[in-house]
Amino acid sequence: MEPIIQIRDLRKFFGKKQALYGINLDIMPGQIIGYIGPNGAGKSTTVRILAGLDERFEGTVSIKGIDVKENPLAVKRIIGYIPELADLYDVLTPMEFLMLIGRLHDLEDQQIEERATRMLDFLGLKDQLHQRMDTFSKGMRQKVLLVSGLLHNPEIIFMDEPLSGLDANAVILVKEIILRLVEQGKTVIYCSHNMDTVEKISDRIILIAEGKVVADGTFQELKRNEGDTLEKLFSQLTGQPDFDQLAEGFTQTFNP
Amino acid sequence: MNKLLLGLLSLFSGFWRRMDVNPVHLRNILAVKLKMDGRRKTAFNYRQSAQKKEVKGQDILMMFMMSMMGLLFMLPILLFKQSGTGMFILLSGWMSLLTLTLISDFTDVLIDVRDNYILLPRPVTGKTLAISRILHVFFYLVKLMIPFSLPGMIGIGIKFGLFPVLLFVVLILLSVLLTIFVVNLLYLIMLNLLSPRKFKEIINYFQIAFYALVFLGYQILPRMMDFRSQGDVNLLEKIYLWPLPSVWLAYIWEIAFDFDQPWTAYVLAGLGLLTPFLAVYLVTTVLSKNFSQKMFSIGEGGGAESAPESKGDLLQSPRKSWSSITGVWFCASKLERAIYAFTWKLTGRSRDFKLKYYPNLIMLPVYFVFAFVFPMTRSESDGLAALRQSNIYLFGFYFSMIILLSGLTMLQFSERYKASWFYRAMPLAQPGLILTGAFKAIIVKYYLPIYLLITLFSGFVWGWHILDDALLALFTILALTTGIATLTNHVLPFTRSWDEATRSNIGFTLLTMFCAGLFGLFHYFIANMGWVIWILIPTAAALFYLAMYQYRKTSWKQVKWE
Repeated sequence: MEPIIQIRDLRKFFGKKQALYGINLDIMPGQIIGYIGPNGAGKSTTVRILAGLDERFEGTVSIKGIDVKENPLAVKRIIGYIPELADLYDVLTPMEFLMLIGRLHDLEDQQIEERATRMLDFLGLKDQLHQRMDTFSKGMRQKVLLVSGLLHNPEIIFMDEPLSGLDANAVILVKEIILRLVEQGKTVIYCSHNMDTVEKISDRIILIAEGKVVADGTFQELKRNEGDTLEKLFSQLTGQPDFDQLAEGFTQTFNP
Repeated sequence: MNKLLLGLLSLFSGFWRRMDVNPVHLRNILAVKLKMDGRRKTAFNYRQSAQKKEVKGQDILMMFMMSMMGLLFMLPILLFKQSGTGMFILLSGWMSLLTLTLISDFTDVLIDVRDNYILLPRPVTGKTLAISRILHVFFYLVKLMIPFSLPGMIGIGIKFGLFPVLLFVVLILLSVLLTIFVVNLLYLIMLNLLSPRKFKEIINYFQIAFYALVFLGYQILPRMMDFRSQGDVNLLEKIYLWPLPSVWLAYIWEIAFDFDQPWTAYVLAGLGLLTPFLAVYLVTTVLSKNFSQKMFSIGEGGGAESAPESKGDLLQSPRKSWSSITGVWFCASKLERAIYAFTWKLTGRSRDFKLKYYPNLIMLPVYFVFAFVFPMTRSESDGLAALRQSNIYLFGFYFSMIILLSGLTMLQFSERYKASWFYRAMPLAQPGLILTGAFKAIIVKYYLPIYLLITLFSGFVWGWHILDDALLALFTILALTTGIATLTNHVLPFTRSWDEATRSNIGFTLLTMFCAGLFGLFHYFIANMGWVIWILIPTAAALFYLAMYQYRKTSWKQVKWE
């Protein structure tokens, strides 16, 4: 089977500062890839490059055989991107916003309306379809954002903290949706700081630290002992100090 | 200045304690609020804030501008034979200015819901919070009051002596109290009647209306006053002006100089003396308490579950809206239509866009009538006939281009500019269609209706033979603006912060205005040559089409993001 995403020697610079140090990855279709790493490790930078949002990088990246740098438009047609902490035009209603997004993906108005209504209905926003989003909670906006990334039925979906702001029930639902999407043959690149979720839903976990891949494999392959959790592995692999000691030091501030 | 005000506040620590207000908390809250004011965009410091620097001389700049205004408003007192009328004009101007400032620059402070989350969870008494809010507004106004009243104090001191100076200061103070009361009352009434979202929308329209009203005042009042012949008219005697608080206060001034006044003067002066104190009582007890409660409801009531659905929104399916109907007429591609509808909706709902653009829509036709048409009708014995013989309507047509230019320029900006991430995320091959779609929305939604209004007005005054001129001017303006936009304007709509608005494309505006002036002049000379006009109309229309065709071809390489 051919990899759906191929990354070769990916390097990224912000001015003189190097953010990515020659990343090489092959990602197979129909998988959930947990793409994790500490803050500033280069996760969002990688995803932005893969989604065709940033063409200023070194190396080659291809999605379904399409070179991202040479043909970002073709890539954008087959991917869905759900950014982290994205701003929305909150004076629009969800339907108006999704109508815009759908039209930009060349969908027919009727198709957009039907899909958006159904998707938002399942996410519990049926009654808010025609309400302006400026009164929406963070979770409600996140649901609209989620639909905006899936509306055009993409083959590959990049999700950057998609569960942010969602309540417990919505989290369960979205996780189930992700699993169903993968059952349909879609590929999901899932970035998150929530190790528990990543551990549970990912077919493969890629851990990045300081712009380099430091671990790559299934959770079973990555864990060293039977009792290991992804959270624990994450701390070990990213070289974090002893948290017990840090917490003790912090709380001792009141008793010098 | 802030230190001085805070120092004065500390002098009354005992008084605050007796009022169940914690003076330390009060001082700390106010110190932070005043510091935040210094970093906030206002009508006075917009340019400096746009450069994202904290401006040390900001207070000085504001004071200088207020002194200039004070100097201007002082003139009627010194020049008019009826000094009471002069005082009425000064106080009216001052109170309008204060109200405008409170509404336009201070609304965000008055309804700052962040207080609910930052201050309310702290161990601060409700009364301390309420008083801090009122004092914050009061301090802000005091900072305006001192420089504004200084020229008046000097002028009055020279002309009338020391006692009138003291009286003037008292009147200014009373006017400040009254203004705070009026604005508070207005907000409270609206908060009681409207949902939080509607409240914010109404405030927005109120701001736009107020800007327009002040502009109209500038145009109409001098014509009503006619300084040369009516400088000695006593406006205080006009019964229709008596509901104005500035009349009540001016009567105090009038009575101080001459006790021999009708009983109505004493009643109105009494109102002037009593109402501010009644206002203080109401503001500090009843209103401030309700205000805080209502404020909390703004912050808490933001949940969509509790927000009533707008009937219009529910009934309006995207395909039936005006933007969808006209989009089909004017846009060739799907992408262009999508951006057209998006721009149509967003411009109509973006607070900052409306605040900055809508006053232009009102002012321009008004300015055309008052600046060009009225002077003509007054200068001749048979003014209307002289007007009809002139081609002055052409000024209206070409002048209207400002609406198009300012719309096109302001289109780049948005308070939600970060939401433009989707342009990059979507598979958009031809960004030129984004530019033309947005530009067409501005033309159809804003420019054409105003142009139609000017044409209708001109048709009624000059006769319908002007229609050929209207068509030629319209196509010339459209071709010119589109042509120059094709060359210089490649910023996608809503992608820049309003903070960058001062760095907008001034070159584009000046170049277009210059060219429009040239074409307008040319049109003026050929206005009576009907056949030439009819040849030029299709030519201008064809040029407009070609310019739009070129604009549509703008590539990603030409698009400016910063």
